[in-house]
Amino acid sequence: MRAGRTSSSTRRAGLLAGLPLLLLVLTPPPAGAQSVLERLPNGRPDLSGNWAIAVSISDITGNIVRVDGEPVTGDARAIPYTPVYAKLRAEADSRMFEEPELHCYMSGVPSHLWRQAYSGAGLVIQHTEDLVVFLHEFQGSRRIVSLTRREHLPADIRLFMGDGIGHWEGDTLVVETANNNALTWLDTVGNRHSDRLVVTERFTPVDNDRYEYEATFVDPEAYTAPWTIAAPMTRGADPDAEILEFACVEGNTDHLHYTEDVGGTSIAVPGPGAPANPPD
Amino acid sequence: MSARRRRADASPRGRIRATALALLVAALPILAASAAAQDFTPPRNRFGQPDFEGIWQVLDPAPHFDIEAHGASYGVPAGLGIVTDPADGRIPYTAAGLARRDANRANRAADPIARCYKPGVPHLMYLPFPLQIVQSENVLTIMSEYMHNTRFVFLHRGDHFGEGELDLWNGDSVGRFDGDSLVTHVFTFHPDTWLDRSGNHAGGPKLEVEERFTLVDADTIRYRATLTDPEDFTRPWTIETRLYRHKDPAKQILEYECHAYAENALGPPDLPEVP
Amino acid sequence: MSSNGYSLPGKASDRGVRVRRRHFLLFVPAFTLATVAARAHHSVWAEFDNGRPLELRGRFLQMDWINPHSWVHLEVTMDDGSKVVWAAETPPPNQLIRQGWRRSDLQPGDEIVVNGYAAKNGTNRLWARNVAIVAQNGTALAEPRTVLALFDPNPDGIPDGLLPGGN
Repeated sequence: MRAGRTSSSTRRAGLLAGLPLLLLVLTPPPAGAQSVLERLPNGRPDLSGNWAIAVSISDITGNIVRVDGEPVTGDARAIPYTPVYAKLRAEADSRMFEEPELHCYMSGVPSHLWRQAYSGAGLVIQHTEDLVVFLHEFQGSRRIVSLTRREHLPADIRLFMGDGIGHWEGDTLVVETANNNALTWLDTVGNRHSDRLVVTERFTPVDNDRYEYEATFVDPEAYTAPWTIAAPMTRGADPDAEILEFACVEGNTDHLHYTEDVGGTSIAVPGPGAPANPPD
Repeated sequence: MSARRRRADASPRGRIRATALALLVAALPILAASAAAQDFTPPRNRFGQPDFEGIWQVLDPAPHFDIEAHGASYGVPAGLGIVTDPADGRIPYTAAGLARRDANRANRAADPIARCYKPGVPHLMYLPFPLQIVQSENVLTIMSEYMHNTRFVFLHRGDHFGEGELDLWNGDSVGRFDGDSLVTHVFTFHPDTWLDRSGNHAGGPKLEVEERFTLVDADTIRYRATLTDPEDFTRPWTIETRLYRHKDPAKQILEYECHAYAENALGPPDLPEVP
Repeated sequence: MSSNGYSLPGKASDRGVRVRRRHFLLFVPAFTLATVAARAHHSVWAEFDNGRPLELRGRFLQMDWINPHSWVHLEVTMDDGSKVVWAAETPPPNQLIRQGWRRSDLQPGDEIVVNGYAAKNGTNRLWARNVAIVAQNGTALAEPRTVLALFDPNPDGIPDGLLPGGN
């Protein structure tokens, strides 16, 4: 298995090949002029609906806009890892067994917003005056954010989807998520975080069909400085899509077949593997 | 029952009327209490729906273990049973249904809860975990803390999927509001769901579950479910229990990601044999 | 458009507890392509080898219509005449149904062709890129009938890991 080649080609492929797909998903509903922002009775922007947030599923670094408060572009878009976490990232190809979705774990905050959004209605938000609930078909993932609480859970409680608390700054919804566990990844190539991660997201409306999404990562164990990603957030083209049930542990066997070179327990077998079929 | 207030009239007739009124007013709490179960009017949300939002949980731990009346055993509390129809409280199994129940009892390792699988409906409703209800115009969402199970009750459609196309552990739920109650119809079930941890069986493509959620006071939902399956049951039958509101303002749904804690111990899923 | 994105056209009058189970709810697909994005809930290339493309032709046995991935089981006759059962991994039923695939599309005994990539651990598993029926009831079809085609940006052959969104 040419692991090195696969990872770099995958990364390239992820950034390039994902574009046509993203363009499809991002096609906004035919509106023409800016649509009027719908609001809840308390005056806050109503985030309810189907959405697509255009962050790369395969490699999150392409969406980095700031590191340590400074704007970055091009190759400077790199996660400022501590040495321990830089090593983990470098070893990602041999640790693919630890990919959380392989084990039917929820993807974690904030990457579930795009990593678990490619099935069915994608990302669905149910929004009331007290709660914002993010829902997916994929793995049935969901995240509940309180708009009324002010304090996070005790530090001993670590959750796949963390503990999210939201408040408003004008029309921007700001969500702070702490109490994350260390089992989730930020993308498929293996960018990670520790359980000291705190994510602060900002959802800023442009109009009813477009928001700007931003997330800042602070993690003194994994990162030497805060870093921020940004992406457009677009209301889904298909308002009729539904979320179906997605049972995962009930039928998951892939993790049993990961070979040792990627951190699994199965033995890789060299050779072509292809049987010769008899001629028609 | 409304109490009309009248200004007291000082005339003798007025005094008699006032006394009668006083007696009537004094009797009102008694009359009101007996009528509460039918007469509580729940608040409506901004969509005009009865408002079920909040965090709820069944208080009685017993039905999760066994929905029929049963004595206690090690780790299992006794229960009076929640089967209200038939009157004897026993599930009206056919021979096939009984065989399935007995096979379950002999194979407790196949209990979906033991494997961290989806619990099915109605079992999801009386799991020992809180659940949170959120409502939108076209969907009422029920979120259990257990394995992030989420039920969507679609309010805008009445059709289900084609029979046999999908096997859904928690079924496909469509619903409507009937006065102040939510009425659902759940269909397209996976064959391997259980009703409780003792092996009582309900599942498969013929099963239909009809639920009725009614707020009997501000903090109590009366939950009824009628199960119909001509293969497993001789007739439709009904369970009833209550969901109580968590009143602690700090209460929130946490996580019970069962399989993540025990992945290595649970082993691979049982997939169908290939001929 | 409703504020929560769940509205379906034309069904608002279909209220009532008794439902017509014969109707099949047609989903508006999330993608306008006739094919499905080749994405798994995990990294495909950690488990399957994109350097080992396979084309298998065999007798359809059964399909596991399950999450997180469905499985097509087929019996392939090898060079030496022995019969080997292979399992081809596909997207989950939710996505297959939206693409138009029905459980009844493949019948035991159908002759099918599966294109995909072999598992690295040498077991008889492959990640399916394409599934097509070539014969039914002993009769060859005039044209193979494709039931699954994953989005392939490289029309000339096997994509070298270049599937949308990476792994």
